[in-house]
Amino acid sequence: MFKVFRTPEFKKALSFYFEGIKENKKHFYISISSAVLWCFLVVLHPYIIKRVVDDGILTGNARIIVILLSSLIIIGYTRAISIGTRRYFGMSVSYSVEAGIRNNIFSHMQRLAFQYHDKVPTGELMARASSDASQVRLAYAIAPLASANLFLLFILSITLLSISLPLGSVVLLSIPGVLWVGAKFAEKAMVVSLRVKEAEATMTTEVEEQLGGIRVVKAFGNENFASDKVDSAIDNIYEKSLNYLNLRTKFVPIFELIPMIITLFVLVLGGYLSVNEFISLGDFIAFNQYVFLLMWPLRITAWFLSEIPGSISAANRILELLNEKPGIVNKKNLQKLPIDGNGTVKFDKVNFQYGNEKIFNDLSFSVEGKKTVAVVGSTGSGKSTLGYLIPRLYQIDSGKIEIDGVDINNLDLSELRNSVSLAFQESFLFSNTAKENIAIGLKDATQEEIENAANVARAHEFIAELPEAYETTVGERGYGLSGGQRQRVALARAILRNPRILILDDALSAVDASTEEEIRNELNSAMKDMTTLIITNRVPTIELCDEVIFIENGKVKAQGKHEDMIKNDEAYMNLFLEEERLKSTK
Amino acid sequence: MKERIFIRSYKLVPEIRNPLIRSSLIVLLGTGLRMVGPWLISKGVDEGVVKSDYSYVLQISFFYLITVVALYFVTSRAILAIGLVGETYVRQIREKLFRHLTSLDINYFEKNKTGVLVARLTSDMQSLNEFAREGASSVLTSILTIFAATIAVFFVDFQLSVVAFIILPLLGVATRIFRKHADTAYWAVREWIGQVLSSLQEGISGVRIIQAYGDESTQIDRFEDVNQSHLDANLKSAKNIAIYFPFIEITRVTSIATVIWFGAQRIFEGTLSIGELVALLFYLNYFFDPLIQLSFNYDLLRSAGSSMKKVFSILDEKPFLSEKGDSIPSINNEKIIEFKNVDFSYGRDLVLKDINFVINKGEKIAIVGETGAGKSTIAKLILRFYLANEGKVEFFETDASEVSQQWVRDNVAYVPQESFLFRGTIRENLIYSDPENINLEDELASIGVLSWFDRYENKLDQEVGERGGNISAGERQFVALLRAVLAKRQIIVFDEATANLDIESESSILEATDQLLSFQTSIVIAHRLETILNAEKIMVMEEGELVGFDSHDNLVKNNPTYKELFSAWNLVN
Repeated sequence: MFKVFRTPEFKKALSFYFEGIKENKKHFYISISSAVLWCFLVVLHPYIIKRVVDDGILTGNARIIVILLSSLIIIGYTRAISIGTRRYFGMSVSYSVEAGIRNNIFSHMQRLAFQYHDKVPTGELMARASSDASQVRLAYAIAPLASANLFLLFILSITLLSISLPLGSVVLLSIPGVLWVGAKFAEKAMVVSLRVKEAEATMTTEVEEQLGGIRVVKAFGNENFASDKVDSAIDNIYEKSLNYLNLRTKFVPIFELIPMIITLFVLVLGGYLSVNEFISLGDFIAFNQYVFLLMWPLRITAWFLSEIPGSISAANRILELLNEKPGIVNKKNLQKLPIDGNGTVKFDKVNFQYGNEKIFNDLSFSVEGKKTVAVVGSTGSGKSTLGYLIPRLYQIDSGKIEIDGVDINNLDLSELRNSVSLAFQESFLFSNTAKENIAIGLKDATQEEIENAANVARAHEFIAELPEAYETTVGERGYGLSGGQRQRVALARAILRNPRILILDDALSAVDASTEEEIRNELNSAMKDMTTLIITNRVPTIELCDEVIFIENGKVKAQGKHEDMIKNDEAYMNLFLEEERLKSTK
Repeated sequence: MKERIFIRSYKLVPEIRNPLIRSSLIVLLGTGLRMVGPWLISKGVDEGVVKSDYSYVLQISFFYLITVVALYFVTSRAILAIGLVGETYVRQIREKLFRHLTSLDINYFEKNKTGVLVARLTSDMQSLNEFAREGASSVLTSILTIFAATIAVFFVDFQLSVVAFIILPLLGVATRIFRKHADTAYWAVREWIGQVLSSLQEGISGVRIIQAYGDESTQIDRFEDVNQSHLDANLKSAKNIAIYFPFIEITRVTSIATVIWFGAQRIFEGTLSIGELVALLFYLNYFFDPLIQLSFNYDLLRSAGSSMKKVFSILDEKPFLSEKGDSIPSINNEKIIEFKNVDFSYGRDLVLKDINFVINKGEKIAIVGETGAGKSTIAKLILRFYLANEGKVEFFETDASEVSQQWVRDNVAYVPQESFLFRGTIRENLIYSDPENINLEDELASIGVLSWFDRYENKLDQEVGERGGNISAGERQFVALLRAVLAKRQIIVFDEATANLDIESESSILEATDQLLSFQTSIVIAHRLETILNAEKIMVMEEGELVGFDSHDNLVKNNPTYKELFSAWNLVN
């Protein structure tokens, strides 16, 4: 149980915790000092009661009772305020730390490159920022309370010993035993509750699967079969939970009864001492009260010990994420793009490996400025990846990519990404207004510019018809747009920044045929001033382009005009035939 | 409103009534026993310590020991009993909820994301779970302890107990105010944590766009704003508790001081013993400590309540289609499916407009048309996932709205476009329709596809992984199709995959597909030339209308829409 304090994880987590405290110093100190104040005041309470009994009641002195009781009340009220203060400022520290962790995780994630996000599932990052952050928070919430209680334990020990050495020793000797029981319980509980968590995860998987396949389940009328499967997963949780429950029934009563057991000792031993007048009646009563006070520190210490391991591993998981170095960052000596550049793109012996798969092998080609070029290739040939490499969303392994003669590695990332717009195959909309979705990354775009871009993408018409036109919230939590409409918004987004280089990655796949035709015509004029790479295998789109780059096996197989290539290149023709056939049957 | 939720939650699982009463009785016994301790101590003080009678003290100590031992057993019984009630309750709710979900119409699943529904059964249940696991016993014990302590205080001395509790109305008022603020704060916190989580989710899933468009700083600002609001809401709720807590303490101290003052007077008069005063102080602690415990548990109780609200939001959804209709059509009839002037919409625009057609027994039908022409909707109506808005869909000349749901499930098999396989082996997936009775090897051999599975290391017992992810999309579709064929339904509806699949490995699947479909009346939403050419009749859809329904040869001559579709590949052939 105490092993955890000796692990390297604990050390790492500890410095992480201290950082959090440093950022909220003031509130932390207020909460700790009010906790310490509280300890002293708590210990005074039974002492006053002892004096009331010994000096007031037993001697029949009403005046001294009045004085003592007034101080009892004053001390009590101060104590009450100290509790409130400790609680508020303690919580404030813990919540602020939690919020800070979330902010850090969020902004750090935004800096990590595609390669990281491809590898780490969304759910995992969500867990870091939600449940793990909360678990770290818990440590801060309990820490002042636990340290105050440890301190209280210390003061109580001294007080008890000073009242009566033998009585105090008996009580104090029992404390390690209590903590041992608590630690034992926490240790066992962790194992058992892990089993419960596993059972819950199994059920989640089962439910996800059955609900994911609900159409199949219903189509075969197998609702009962599905329910039975889920039921057995639920029953499994129930069984595992009963193990936990059994553990609780053994240990929890002990905790509740500990003060009573100590009271029993006090009764036997204290009674003896009192009867033989080693201690006063007031001392005997105060002793009983002190024993009552012991209950909370012991419980909270046990609680703290049981929460620590979870919090430490959560902190370590968060640290691991925050220590992940962003793979793509600005270099030291940055160059600027030539102002009069026309958007020439050049790939020079580019090698790129993804995981274990070699995608590009000495890929070289160049595209003249202001040309419109189709990038064609079979599924998995890496044509989409090529689009990602130009704005440096992935880092190439070797070789060089140049825009207007400048190596993209030497460009400022924001300048590069402002000059290269990429419309993705899968159009993602944020739960923002249509306007904000189009003007993403361009805070100062005017309404007119936005509408123009939307017009080219043939999105203006339907956006104008939305309940609040450009101010309508779209996306996950907003107005539901169809796949084709979403793609058009995404296209407008790419066009709006009027980039030097525009890359369209199958960006019209969900748009219906006639609209696609319209968009193509609009684009034709819009694309005049920029270099455009269109990643597609659709013939009508290809025919629109000045040139085709055909990618096969990680290299440029051919570059030229579509009409020529379809005649001369058999592989190109075959690919094209298949595509054409599939498309026409849709 | 809150009360109603609790009563409804309780009524949902009536089985827990008796165990609940039984465990309450055990808890009550426990709290009763707990009250014995202070009484024994007061006796010990009065008769033993004050009178210097140590043997009496020992006697009392012995009784005290017995009480402690008894209390250990009663308390552990109580924790077990309440824990059992809680676990049973959560289990029952989960099982009920899932069963209810599966009974709902497909429509419900189209409207609600799977992820959200999964959350209803898992993460949304978390707080209910926590409450059942630890909160319930603590709340019940606290309430009963307060109750028992009140009685005990009155038992010791009536006059002093009135004095002790005279300040309580003040605490009552404070509690009322606290509850009101705590409720508001609670909802604010929940609202904002929801916002934080969805911003987070959006920031992660949209990270590629954000980076490609250099929008990082705007997104970070947005997130920090939402996060700040959540922090503010949390601090507000912390403030509520930080103000309420001292109130309990102040009441406690005031009450104790008053009792001691009046108690001292009574001791001077000789109408109260010191031991009784000590007992009173103990009982007052037993009264105030559970109050603190209860305010700790208040938020837990609230979130359990809102968990239940979400549970009810699903339970209140009523299945419509599965309960409507109980006719069993006679399958001797030739007209297997007929659409009569069918109009259909999912809500906004008409997706199907005045559709008329008849499909006879044994026919092989292909449906073609552009995306959004209404092909899948026809399939969904045939599956009776929906009913027509206008006009009639008939199975064997019986109106779909009168046909029993079960009959449709037993007679129409469906292969969706995204072939969904369950975790487990290929075998388990293939015999899905009737695990007990399908003799898989024989059936597969008789339709000549048994050897197809030799491609896998473990043949039919190959694990397919989650959602069939371990095998290729084409193979998945083949298994899904075979699964439907083995179900031996009258009609099979097959939505071909549109994904660009590896053509070579597909050809073997395609061949087998044709063979498989020849056994039944089949309706294929076709995306491949081969499939279309194999169909006997082709349904041509255009913008929700049926513009042609004939053989390939006739359509190619007479139907302009079809001609246009066909010319595309004719051109390249």
